[in-house]
Amino acid sequence: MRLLPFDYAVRNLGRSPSRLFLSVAGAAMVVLLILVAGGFVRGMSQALRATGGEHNVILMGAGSEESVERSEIPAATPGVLAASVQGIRTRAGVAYVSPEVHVMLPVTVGTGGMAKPRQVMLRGVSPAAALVHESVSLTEGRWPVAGGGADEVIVGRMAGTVLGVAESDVQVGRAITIDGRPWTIVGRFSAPGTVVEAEVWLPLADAMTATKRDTISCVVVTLDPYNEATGEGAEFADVAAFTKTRPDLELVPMTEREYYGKLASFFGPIKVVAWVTAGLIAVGGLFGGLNTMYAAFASRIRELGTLQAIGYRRLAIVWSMIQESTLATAAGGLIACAVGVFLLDGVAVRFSMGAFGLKIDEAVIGLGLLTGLALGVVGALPPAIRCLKPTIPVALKAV
Amino acid sequence: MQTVKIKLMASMRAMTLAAVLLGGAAGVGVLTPQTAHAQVKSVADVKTMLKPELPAGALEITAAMKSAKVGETITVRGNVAMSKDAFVENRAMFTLVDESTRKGCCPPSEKLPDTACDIPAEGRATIQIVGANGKPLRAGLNGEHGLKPGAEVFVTGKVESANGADALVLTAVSMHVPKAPLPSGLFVEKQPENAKDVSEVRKSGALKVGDEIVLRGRVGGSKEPFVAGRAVLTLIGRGLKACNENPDDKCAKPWDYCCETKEDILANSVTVQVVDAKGQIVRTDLKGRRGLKELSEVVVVAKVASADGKGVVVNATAVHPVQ
Repeated sequence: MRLLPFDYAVRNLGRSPSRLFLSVAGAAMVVLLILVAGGFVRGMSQALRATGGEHNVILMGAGSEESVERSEIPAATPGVLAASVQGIRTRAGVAYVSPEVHVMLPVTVGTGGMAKPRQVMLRGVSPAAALVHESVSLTEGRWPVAGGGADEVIVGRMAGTVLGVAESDVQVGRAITIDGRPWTIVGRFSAPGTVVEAEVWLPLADAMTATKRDTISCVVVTLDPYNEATGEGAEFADVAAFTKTRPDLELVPMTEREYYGKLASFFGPIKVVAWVTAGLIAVGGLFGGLNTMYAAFASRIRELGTLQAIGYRRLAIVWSMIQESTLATAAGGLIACAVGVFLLDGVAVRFSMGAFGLKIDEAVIGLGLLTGLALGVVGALPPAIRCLKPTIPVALKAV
Repeated sequence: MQTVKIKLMASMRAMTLAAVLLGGAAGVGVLTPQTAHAQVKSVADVKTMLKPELPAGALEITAAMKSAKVGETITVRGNVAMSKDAFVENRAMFTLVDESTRKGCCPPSEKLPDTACDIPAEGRATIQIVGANGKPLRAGLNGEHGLKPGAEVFVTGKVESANGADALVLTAVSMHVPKAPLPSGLFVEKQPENAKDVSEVRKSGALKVGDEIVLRGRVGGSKEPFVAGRAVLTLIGRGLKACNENPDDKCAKPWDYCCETKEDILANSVTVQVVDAKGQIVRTDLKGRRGLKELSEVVVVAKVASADGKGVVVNATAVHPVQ
C-alpha cells in the first residue's frame, strides 16, 4: 500500500493556525487533568506508604486498628514492652520505643484567636520519636522541652499548607494556638514524602496534659532485623506474641507500613472519584477534539476524493489523518507534561490526614503522553471514516 | 531552508515512531501474563517453592502412606531424617520421616547414624524436586533453604509412587520449612484425662506459677487468636458463647467473641504458648497443624508460666485437638 508523504500531514496542520491552536490546547488541557489526577493519587499513596518505617511496629488499643487517634493504651505499656521483647533496636543504651499521643485538634496561627481554626494532627512525643521515625529530621531550631510553663512545639515543613497560612507565619519564634492555648514554635522538621510533614509535634507530657488524658495512643517500636545465624534481633511475630502473653494490656500490633497501607485503602474511594472525574472530562475533551477534527476533514472532502482518484487507498488516507491528529495532540500532551513537571510536581494538597505533594513521576507522565496519543488516534478515526464514506464521484462533487 | 525542512520532517517522523513504539511497549507490558510458577532449574530456584504460610490439613507420613493415590496432590508433614543418608548426594531428593514411629531412642552420639534405620518404612517418604525434564535436579539439598537433618518440613506435592503400605514418593510443588520445630510428641492422639474448662479454672482463681494443669477450651478471643510464625494461641472457655452461637448473629469472625465485653473475654481465657529449652516461644505456627483453626476445641496439658494481673499464660507440654 502506497502511503501519503508524512509532509502532507504536517503541512495540513498549518492550514488553519487557529484550529491547530484549539487542537493542541484542548489536548493539553485533557492531559493536564490526567496528570493532576495521577499526581494526586500517586502523591497520596506514596506519602501514606512512605510514612511507615521498614522495621517499625505500632502497638495500639484493641478495636482501634482503623485509627490510632481513637486508641488508648496504658502509659506503662512502653516500659513493659521494652522489658519483655528481646531484639528491640537500641542506640547508646536507649531503646527505640516511642510512646505517642495522636490527636486532631483545632489550631490557629498567632495568639489572637481571630483566624478560623483548622484541624491539625498533633503528635505528643518523647525524644525517642526521633529514633523510631528515621525520616524526620530537625531542620531549624531545637527539640521542644516539656513542662516549665513554656509550651513549645515543632512544626513540619507542610504545616503552613495545613493551616492555610504562609510559611513565614509558622517560622521558629512564631506562636500558634492549640485549642485556645498559645504555644511557641521552637523548631521545624522535615520528613520528605510523608504525611508527618503536616503535623505539629509537642512533648508527650504536655500533650497528655493538654488533652486531659492519662493514657497514650500508641507505642512505635523499631526492631533489629532478626539474624538467623546469631539468633539476635526480633520479628513482628515476637511483638505479636508479646501482645498475646499480656492480654490485660489489650494491645493490637501492626507494622507501621500495614497501618498506613490500610489508611491508604481507606482513601481509595477518593482516588476513584479523582480518576472518574478526570476520565469524564477527558471524554468531554475527546468529543471536542472529534468536532474540531471533523470540521478540519469535512472541508477537505473533495481533496480526499482527489487523493483516492489518483490512486491512494482509503487506509493510506486514514493513516495520514491519524498522523495529522496525533501530531497535534502529542504536542499538546508534551506541553501539558512540561507544565506538570515544572509547575505541578510537589504542589501541596491538604487532606484529612495532613498534606502531601502532587507526584508527577515517570508513570504519571507516561500515562499523560499515552492519553495524548490516544486522543489523537481516537479523535481522528470517526471523522476520517465519515469523510471517506462518499464514493469518489460524490466526493469530487462535494462543495 | 530545504535542508532544515527535511531535518524537521525526519525528526518528527522519528518522534512519531518512538511514541508508537513506546505506546506499543507499554501495552504489551500490561497485557503480557506473568508466569504463574517459576520453573525450578537449580537449587537456588527452590526458594521460589518455599511458602511462608503453614499449609492447613497436612497429613502425618504414616497417615499419608495409607491413603495416598498415585497422581493426586497431597500435603504431608514430617522431619528430615536424622541420618547421613537423609539427603541424596548430587540429587534434589531427601527422606522425610514421621518421628512418632521411631522405634529406638536417639543415638547418644552427636554424630548422625548412617541410616534412619530406627524409623520403619511406613514412617518414611521420599521427596524429590524435579526440573523441566521431569527428573530430580542434579544437586544436593543438604543445608539449602533451611533443609537439614531433623528440620520439620511441610511438603505439598504430587504422589509419584505409593503402595499403601511402605512406599511413598512425592514430587514437591511447594514447601514450608518452619524456622524451628515443635517439641517431638507435642501433639498427642489420646485425649488427656481430667481436663477442666478454661472458664472454670479461671473462675476458681487458684492458678499459681508452676502448677500443672489440663485445660479444655476453644481457640478464640480475638480476631487473630493465633500468632503467625509463633507457637502461641489463646483458648477461651465455655463460660462464654462464640458469636455464631447467638441466634441471628452474622459475625464474620465469630471466634473474636465480639459480642462479649473485653473484661469477660479476659476472665475466661488463657494464653497457651509452646516454648523451647531456653524458654523462648517456638518460632513456628500452630494454626493449620492437626486441623487447628479458630474455634477448634483443644485439650492442653500445661504448666502455668504467669498468672499475675488479669491474664494467665501457660506453657503447653501436650496438645490434643478434639475432633
